[in-house]
Amino acid sequence: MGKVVKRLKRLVVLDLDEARFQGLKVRGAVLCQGREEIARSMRRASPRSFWISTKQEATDDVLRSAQQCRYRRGPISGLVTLEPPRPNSIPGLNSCFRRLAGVAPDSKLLPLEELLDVLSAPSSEAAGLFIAGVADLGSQTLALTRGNMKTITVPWSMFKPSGDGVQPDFSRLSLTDYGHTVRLGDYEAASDAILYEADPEYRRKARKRLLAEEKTFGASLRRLRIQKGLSRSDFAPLSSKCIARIERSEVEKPHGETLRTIADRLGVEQEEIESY
Amino acid sequence: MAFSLELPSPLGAEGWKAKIRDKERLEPPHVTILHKRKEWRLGLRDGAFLVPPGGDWNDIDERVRVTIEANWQRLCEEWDRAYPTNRVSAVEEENDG
Repeated sequence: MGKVVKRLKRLVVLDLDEARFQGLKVRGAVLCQGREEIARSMRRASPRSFWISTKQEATDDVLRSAQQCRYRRGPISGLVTLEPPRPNSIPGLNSCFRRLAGVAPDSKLLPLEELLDVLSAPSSEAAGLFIAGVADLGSQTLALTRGNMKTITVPWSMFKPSGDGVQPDFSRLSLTDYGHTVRLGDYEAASDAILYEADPEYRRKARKRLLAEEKTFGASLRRLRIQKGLSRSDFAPLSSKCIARIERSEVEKPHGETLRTIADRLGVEQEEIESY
Repeated sequence: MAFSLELPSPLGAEGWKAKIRDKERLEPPHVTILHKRKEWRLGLRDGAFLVPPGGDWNDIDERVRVTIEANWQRLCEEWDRAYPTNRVSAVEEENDG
């Protein structure tokens, strides 16, 4: 049987100062300057490549080149724009790239060095880190793009004030700590905590790794109750003693009306409880 | 407000951080150690590395370990301040109740 060679994701950085690019020292990244070079690189590019455009003009150039190659070999993996593209170019970019990040006018991205480092990481690792985000006042949601270029959308209500009363300030969104932290003014949220709450697949994988921890219904209930900021006395008409016994697995897994009451109070589907 | 433990020079410049943020996975209480793309969650109740992501002290700069151990009480207090509904000592309190 032949040896399986894991191919490195190729990062193509557009229109960046050469000295700055060299200083970044990112494995597998190449620099492209100017329209001609972009066109040449695009003709040779793997569909698995990620493109990082530092200027709006470079995004226009990459779209021009990508649409010429589009029908020959299909869309390219991803494009991150450090400067938002012209609104009229977005439909075209959408058809040439599978995933986009940084295209909304108020998008915030990781600092370039951290961004390239995360994008060059294995997909499984990059999926747990945020590279871009945008806070939308109209819908009161936060769209966060992961290092695998998939975006999740979460409600602002997910970010409760901290114990000392610090409130999230969505007008001051930034990403830091190599995508491990979402900063909202003075308020900081762990990417892991956001993904754990918002993405069932992330939760499933995290739970699979909980080798050393309990896997009972009661343990799941306890983790979820605490995550939701509820106390055992918040499940009326069930008593706090009853909840404590369920959490300690002193009684069988609840069903019927008891399970419905617990799920309703937690704000999740009954079958979801054990995924926590 | 997120708590960031002050680490001796040059650990900060080398990219090491130890934080308790305003929104963390609440159970169990922990401090997150960060080094560039890597992170470890250290449980404040028992000092064990949480899974995921797991790991152990061999992965972490010795000076970070020493600083964290020297500031253990402070870290527990910072967690309790940020998450008064799930204090470091909550397991014992709940089981006693």
